[in-house]
Amino acid sequence: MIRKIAWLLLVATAWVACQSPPDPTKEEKRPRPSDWSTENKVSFHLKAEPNGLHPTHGLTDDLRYFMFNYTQMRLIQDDIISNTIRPSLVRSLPETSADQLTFTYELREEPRWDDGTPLTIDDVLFTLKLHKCPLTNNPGAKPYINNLKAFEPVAENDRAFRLVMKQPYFQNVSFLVDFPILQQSFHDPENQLGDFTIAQFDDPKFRASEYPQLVTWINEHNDGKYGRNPDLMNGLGPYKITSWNSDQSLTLQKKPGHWMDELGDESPFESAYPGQITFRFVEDPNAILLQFKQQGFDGSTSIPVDQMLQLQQDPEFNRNYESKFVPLYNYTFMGMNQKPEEKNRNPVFTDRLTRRAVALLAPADEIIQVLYQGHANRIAGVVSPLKPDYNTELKPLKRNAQRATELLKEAGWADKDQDGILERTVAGKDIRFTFSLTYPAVSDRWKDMARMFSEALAEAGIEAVPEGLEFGNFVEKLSSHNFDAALMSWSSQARPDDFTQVWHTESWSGSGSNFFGFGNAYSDSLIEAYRATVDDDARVPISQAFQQFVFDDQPYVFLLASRRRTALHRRFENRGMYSEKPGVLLNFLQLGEVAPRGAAFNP
Amino acid sequence: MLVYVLRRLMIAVPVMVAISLGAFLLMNAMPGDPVDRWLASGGNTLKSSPAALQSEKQRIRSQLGLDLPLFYVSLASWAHPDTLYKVTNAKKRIWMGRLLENSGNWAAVERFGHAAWAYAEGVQHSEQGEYLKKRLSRIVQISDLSEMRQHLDSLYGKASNGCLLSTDLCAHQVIFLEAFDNLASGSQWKTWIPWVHFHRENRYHRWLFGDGNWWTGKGGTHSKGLLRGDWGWSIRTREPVGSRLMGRIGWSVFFTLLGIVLALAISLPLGAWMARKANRSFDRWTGALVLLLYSIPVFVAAVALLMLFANPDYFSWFPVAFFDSDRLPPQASTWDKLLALLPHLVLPLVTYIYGAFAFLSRTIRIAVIEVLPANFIQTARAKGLSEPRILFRHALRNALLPVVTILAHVLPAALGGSVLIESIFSIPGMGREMVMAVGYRDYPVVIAIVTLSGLFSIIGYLLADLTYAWADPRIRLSKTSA
Repeated sequence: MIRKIAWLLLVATAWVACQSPPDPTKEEKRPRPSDWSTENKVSFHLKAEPNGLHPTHGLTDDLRYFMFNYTQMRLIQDDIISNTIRPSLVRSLPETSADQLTFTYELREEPRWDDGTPLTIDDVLFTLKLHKCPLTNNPGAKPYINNLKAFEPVAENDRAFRLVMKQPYFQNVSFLVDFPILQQSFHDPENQLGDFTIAQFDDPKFRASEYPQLVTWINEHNDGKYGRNPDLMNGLGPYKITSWNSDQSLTLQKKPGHWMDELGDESPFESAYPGQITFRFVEDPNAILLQFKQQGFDGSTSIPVDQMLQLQQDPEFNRNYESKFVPLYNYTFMGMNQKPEEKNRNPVFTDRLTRRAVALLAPADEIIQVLYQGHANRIAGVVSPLKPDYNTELKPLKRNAQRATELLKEAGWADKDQDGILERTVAGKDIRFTFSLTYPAVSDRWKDMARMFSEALAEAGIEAVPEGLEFGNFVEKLSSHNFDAALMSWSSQARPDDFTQVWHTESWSGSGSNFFGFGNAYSDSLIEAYRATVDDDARVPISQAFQQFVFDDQPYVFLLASRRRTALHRRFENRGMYSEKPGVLLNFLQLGEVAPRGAAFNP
Repeated sequence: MLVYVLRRLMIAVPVMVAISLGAFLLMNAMPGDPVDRWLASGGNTLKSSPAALQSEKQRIRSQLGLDLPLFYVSLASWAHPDTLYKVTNAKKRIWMGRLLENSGNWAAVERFGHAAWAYAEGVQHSEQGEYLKKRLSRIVQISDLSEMRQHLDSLYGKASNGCLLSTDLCAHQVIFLEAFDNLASGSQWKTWIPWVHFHRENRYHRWLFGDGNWWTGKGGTHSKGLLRGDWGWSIRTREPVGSRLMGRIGWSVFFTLLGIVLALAISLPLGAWMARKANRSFDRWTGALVLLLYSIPVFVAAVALLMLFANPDYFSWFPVAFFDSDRLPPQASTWDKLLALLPHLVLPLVTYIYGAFAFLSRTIRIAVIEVLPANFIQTARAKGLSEPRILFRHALRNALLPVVTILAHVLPAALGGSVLIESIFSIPGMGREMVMAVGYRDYPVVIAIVTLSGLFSIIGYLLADLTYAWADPRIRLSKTSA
């Protein structure tokens, strides 16, 4: 008997092992389009849940921004279709004063809160004061609102107001896309903030501890429950959070009789077609793949590359979903420490010739082919080719080992001791061309990238030793400048970037993100001129000059811009897929007609 | 028995304090700044002003208590003040600490440090040339006094004539050059004498008692303290740690306990029967099979189960996603929910338990083989009891002691969860929470998990001791009279 069972198990195992993957040419037995769900509900995949949805905490959390697109509204919002900004709660983009410091806005009349009361300028003032208040727990938001000096109601129009800024700055309008407007009577029914002004909160001498009532109220406001408990959250958006099962799902329900419904507008930004949007959090790549095979998700913008390619081979998936690799604004690079003396690191990247030689040896195309299966774009510099101010004169460097060798020789590198590693003399001391290549050990892709880099450089006599670090440790190393070179990426958006944080010399000595010691007085002057130039067209030549300087100085080996892996179920129409985050407009997905059973379907 | 339990519980108090303190110190000693990690979450966006960011970092450090000393006492040299930790800028604090080691005169270091830092920052923001900026940025890094003297001499030559500097900067320069002379004439011998510093306000105290009055708790703004049931706030989610963890412990404990019950339900009779049939074909084949299962890595088994039994290409028998009550209609009864839950449990449970079969069944097998020749078994046989009754009622109970030892580890293991299984099957358990918390330097959550894990270990061992006594009446837990 035992032997029979054993044989049975063996045969069953062999049968399963011998099963080949599905043949795309074979007729499938799985659901046909007529079996598509007809529920007007969107089930959207995310890899992780937002850290919280508090109205003032966590500004830099992309997932929070994503959810707020449906539950909250801002004065100005990103137009992810045209890659500009558009008026949202205001009638139009503001009128600007001649000195570029005062911006006059007028609120629309239609927006109403959930209790039926209209949006007023008091709500706007409350929101701005709340973010300015030193006790508000919003460290990510404070730098963005720092330039706001005053809020002035317009006497003759109770829906108009002026925002007065401290300095001319090109983001003096677009910064508002990060600030959802909050209802004063919901969050601060006793108007605790009414006794204070923006100027008071701006004053470094302001001592909040002298106002115990304010401290009590703001501590209550800072409580995380206002970003977790659906009953304690509200907003002007057409959806309301109805449930949040931690690490599993978050559900938004369409608000009945929302003010947007009365507009009759079919704008992608002012429509709310799905009755429910559920975000489901699944991390494992295999589970994501299977969910799509079972039509468990209606869409995603974060399908892993390998799983996306595997799914695109499946005719059933292609019948059910439209999927695309969408180019992004981010960029991946290897940065080189130009100021190694601070931590006595090996001074190998202090000259431009050496850095350019390393860039010419970089296996960027191989990395794209091997690690991204070809689904990434080469980049030449700091600004994405998708942006209007991209300097089209700049082309990505092609691998050229011969030219790299010449440059290394010119820079004084030679294998004097014939051990296969280059050396040169700096200040009377012989140094070897060996460095540690630090990368965040958060995924195998970074490790593989570091290895490919290391192998490519070894051919030219350069020893790059990969060093994977846990993310917190990685950030610590970069911040303390205690590294030789690092692989990492920056995210960006369609709006113009402020180069200060990453490229200004002040951001190296201070607490910014110029980890690599880039810059001089000229580059700083370009960055400052760029910040102060409000006119978009006038900013373009400054941006291009800066891009050229970065390209010539070669602080980074610019590698690639990855692509977002987006899929949306074909049972919905209006399946737009965009480069700007979050990449989709779920509110605009409109349930389409379902094909009758047995009908031919051609995607 | 009661006295024994009470005694064990009293011993548990200092053990718990030691565990919490150990976890607390270990977490704080780890590299990586929780504030940086917090600000970096959600992607590194390319905007914001560094100066404003720095001031925000300082504010949030103060709010979280990260600018306080770690513990009530610290050991340093006589030269070290008990106020160095109040220097909020980490780079500046480290540099001044090193200067102090070379000088021994804290008053001079303090004056020089602040003056030099103000001067360096002033020059950074001024129209001065690259040379000065570079030289000054170097000076505020070195701590060797002779090396610094060389740099200062160079500065005298380049910048002290007044022609290069603004009036404000000149004033700064005079102050800091004068301060250096005091620094150099310090008393380095003080750095050789060890000294214990006491800190009334410290992070551990705040964690235990909150930031208000330690006795009444009044006056606190951010934390009431662990002893008042406040585990603090998660840095990552800004939720109270207690409520964050409560939602997750349930699933991890459920899977671990149900898993161990199922594993025992299968392994106990299997092991006993293998002992009964020792060295025969059933024993050999079953032993080989459970060892084969044992050798399969968990992640391979989990993915294989998922790809095989939750895949429309093969057998779509089980759901991919974990149970989510939101998928059920709002009017669903508890019974409906339980029924809907069952299919979601199968694959994770199989993954949880398959590896335990080998260990448990082999352990039971050996223990039963040792018990079977015992006199009381022979007596039972002589009394005419049936073989299954002898095996499962008499032999198995006496072979349970090794299994009880294993059970002592089940509770703390339940708290830790299984990261791999939870990730693959999307189970919202403690394993994933722990990994996220460590990655984010969310130390209030990490400390809470480690402390709870310690508590569960104590309870686990206590239960194991009690179970020993039940399984083997010869074991007496209370002190026997002479």
